[in-house]
Amino acid sequence: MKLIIRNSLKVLLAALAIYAAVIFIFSNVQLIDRRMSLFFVPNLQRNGGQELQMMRDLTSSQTKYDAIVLGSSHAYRGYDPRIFEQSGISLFNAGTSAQNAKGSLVLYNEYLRNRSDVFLLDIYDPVFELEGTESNMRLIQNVPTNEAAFALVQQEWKMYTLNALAVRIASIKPMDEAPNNDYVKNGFCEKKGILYAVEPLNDSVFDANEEMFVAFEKMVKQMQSDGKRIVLCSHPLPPSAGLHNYHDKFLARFTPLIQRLGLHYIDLTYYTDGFGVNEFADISHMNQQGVELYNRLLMNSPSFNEVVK
Amino acid sequence: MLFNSIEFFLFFPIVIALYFLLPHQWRWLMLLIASCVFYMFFVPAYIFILLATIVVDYVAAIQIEKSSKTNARRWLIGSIISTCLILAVFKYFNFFIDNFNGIANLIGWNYSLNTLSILLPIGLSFHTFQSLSYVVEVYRGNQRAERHFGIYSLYVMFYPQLVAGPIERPQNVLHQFYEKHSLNYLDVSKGMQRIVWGMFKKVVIADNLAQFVSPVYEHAGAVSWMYLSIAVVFFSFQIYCDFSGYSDIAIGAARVMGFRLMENFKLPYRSTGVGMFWSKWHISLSTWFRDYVYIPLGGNRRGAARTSLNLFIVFAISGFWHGANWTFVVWGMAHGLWLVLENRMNVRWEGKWKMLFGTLITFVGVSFLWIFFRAQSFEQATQVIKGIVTFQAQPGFLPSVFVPLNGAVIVGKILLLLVFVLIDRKVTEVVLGTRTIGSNRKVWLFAALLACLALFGQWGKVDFIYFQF
Repeated sequence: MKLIIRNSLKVLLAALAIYAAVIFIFSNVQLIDRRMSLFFVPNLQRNGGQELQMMRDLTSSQTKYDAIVLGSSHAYRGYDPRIFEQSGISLFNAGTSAQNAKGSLVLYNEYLRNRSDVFLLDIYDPVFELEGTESNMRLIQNVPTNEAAFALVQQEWKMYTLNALAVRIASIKPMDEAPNNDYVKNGFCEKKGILYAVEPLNDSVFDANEEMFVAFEKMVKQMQSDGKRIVLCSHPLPPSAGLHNYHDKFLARFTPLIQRLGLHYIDLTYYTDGFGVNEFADISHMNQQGVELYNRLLMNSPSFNEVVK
Repeated sequence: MLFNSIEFFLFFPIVIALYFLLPHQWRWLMLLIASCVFYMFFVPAYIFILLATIVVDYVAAIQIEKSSKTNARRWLIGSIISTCLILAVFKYFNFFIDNFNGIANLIGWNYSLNTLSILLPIGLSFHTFQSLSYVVEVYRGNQRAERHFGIYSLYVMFYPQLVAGPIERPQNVLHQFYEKHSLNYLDVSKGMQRIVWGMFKKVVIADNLAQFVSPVYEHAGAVSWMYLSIAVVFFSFQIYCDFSGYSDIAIGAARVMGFRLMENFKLPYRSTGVGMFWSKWHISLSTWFRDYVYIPLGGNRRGAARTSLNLFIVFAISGFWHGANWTFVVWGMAHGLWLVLENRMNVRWEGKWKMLFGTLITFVGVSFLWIFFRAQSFEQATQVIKGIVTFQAQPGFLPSVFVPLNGAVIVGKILLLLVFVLIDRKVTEVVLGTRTIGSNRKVWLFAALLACLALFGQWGKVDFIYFQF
């Protein structure tokens, strides 16, 4: 028994040493033009992308906004603060890549709670299916403080979140990497390009990750208990993408939840008036032309005005 | 319960601790309960299907032993039919109905039967075959019928090999449940080494490759021939690491408690022919077919033509065993045909370079045939093959599912695979005990594998491929 314990400890200690060494190399050595980690683990980098640019904008002042957007890339590419500003609404877009309710809740608690009374939660069905790897890893590495990073890890005790935290801690000199060239300001990224063709996804099946619905409910309840006003929005998707079946299945699960929580949901997923291939950059994101159209549509919506104004 | 899940990491040490803490006479019961818990993590109700198989074959074997030759034969046939009937209903019923409807439609017969909305019980084909092997061995007089219902149930349900083999023979395993195993360093050490190596193969190699293979097959018409070719090669290693990884974990988990399960893989991609490949790939299934189908059909005792036919039949059935889809049948038949040709032409690769060439040819052939195994349909398989042979260019845009799979990530996966190819043989020999290395080197080797699990592992995301069978 002693021998088993002694040798197990030896192996574990050696594994820890190798792990630490590799994390150190991953965090500080570049291969070609990127961190070595990116060759082996997608999203395992220190500092970079829209997340970093957004967090810098957010924490550089203590401005209060009329509304803050939370959600995935669907969000940070779909709500342009410049357009809202023209109507006198100051908006900050705190969407990040594949952001789920767990990540949104940490951002809300750590940075956003006192920055607005109105929260626009962008709803994008796939986020309620995913495990949240991409979202959590990017946020863990780009939130300004270790406390916030640790709060994100606590939301999701998984090996990949620990790896992301380890890379964050092991980075001697955090570098700006892979800046998002589409970034404009206040978290918004302007998507260029036109969707020329769509591979229809008629057979896609919505496969709910129940954890995400639970996390969503928890986040909404906390915001409501803080007296925040919430509006849920989904922007149009390319009509030719064949997502009806998929979105209907999502709605069958989502609608009872939002009814129970008493939320407004401006669901324009199937909205087609004015939205053709020219308004989209890819199958799930609008281009700037689409954003202009959608944001104005939203501001004219009675539900939006009821909550925001 | 998946081996690569957090639940298993709690379950495993608890079972080991209880096994060695309990008095010998209670261990079988604890293992049986643990095996039920393990199985019920998937779909709890399906334990009753397993129970039905166990009861049928338990009773049949006792009756076979007690009966005259003629009656024993009746009991054997009854047992085989009823056990296979369960398999037929849950695994093949919808396949037969779909084909029946297809033919009915073709001949203009306006009548269609409804398919059943049922899930295939996990590992059904494995425990069905293990159970069948028991009654056949009792019938042949190679094994005494087990009177202890609990021990017999444990033989079918022993959790390490319950859902994906190795498909054991009663002579190898049953007596081990009566033996008193004590905690010893060699078993624990060898077992744990085996588990770590199996986890590495599954979680680090197979599941990393799967991240690329799955979207490529799903969007075979929307990616370049290069992507398709990489996916075909990746899948060859994915399925090898997935399945042999499972077998390693199963053998290791049993070894920690002192049980010895049969080997299931012996570096199959180093084979210089398809015959050799099948003697090294899924050995417990190949030998099952050899012992219970090929030899009873006449084996190689009835002339060359009949031998060829027997081989072809065995491989066609083996394909069908893998899945209720014609793609599997074609895959099996193609292997059968290849083996027949290899035997008839007496292909032998001798000398270093010729052997290397033979290995390469075998790998290319096996990888090509895996396309039918991996594809969901003939259309998908054809799309993959057509894309490769016509050097399909990259269409205007990649589906968004490829966004996280940028060039660097693909290069990383290729590097991981290369490292695996370089170390596979040596580490396999170390865990099998056929290669000796110093204890310090061994510590660093398994420490490195553990570190890789933490750094590159895809935890709890991908089921074992063979679970579906």
